[in-house]
Amino acid sequence: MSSYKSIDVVIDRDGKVHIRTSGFSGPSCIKAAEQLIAELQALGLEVKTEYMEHTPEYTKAEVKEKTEIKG
Amino acid sequence: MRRCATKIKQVQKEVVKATMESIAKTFGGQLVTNVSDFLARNIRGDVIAAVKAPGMPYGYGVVIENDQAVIVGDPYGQQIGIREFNNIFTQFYQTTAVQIALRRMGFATSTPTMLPNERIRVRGVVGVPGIV
Repeated sequence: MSSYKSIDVVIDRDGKVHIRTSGFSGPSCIKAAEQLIAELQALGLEVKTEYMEHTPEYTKAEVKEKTEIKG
Repeated sequence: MRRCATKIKQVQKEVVKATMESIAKTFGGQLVTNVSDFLARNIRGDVIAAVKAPGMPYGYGVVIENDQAVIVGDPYGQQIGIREFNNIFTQFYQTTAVQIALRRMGFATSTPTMLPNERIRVRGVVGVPGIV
């Protein structure tokens, strides 16, 4: 398993933020997304999770996970 | 002169400055310290940072009121309206905040990429591909 992990964040003009993680094992991807959301809140952004989707890889060693939040 | 409150509360000055710098660079403009109206009168007040660029020749600035970011400027005679600039500022503030947050988490961040439909992508990476 690779140690490489990435988090892609796409920000829409209307303020929606999409987070996709890859390379995380199991639920650690959700922890990473939650940590990112907490950091954004600490920077003054009002963030709430609107939608979350696990890819089939979520239950495998290599996991990709996607959440959608509104800023 | 008009004012337009953003959704950003507990706003941080340094993030505002970095955000306005990024907007200036993206829109081919420059970071300035004040904005003027259509009659070239300067706005009064504590503008944290302001941008003048093609499409917004008189500029838009940001002031902080009750810890909230407020856009100030005169939309008259400017292609980009104050509400549109509010959306642009909010998007770029979020982008700057995401970069800071990812770095705090130990990730190296890429330069933000402009995507179709006015979207912006930031990538944070850690580790080396293929290394166990």
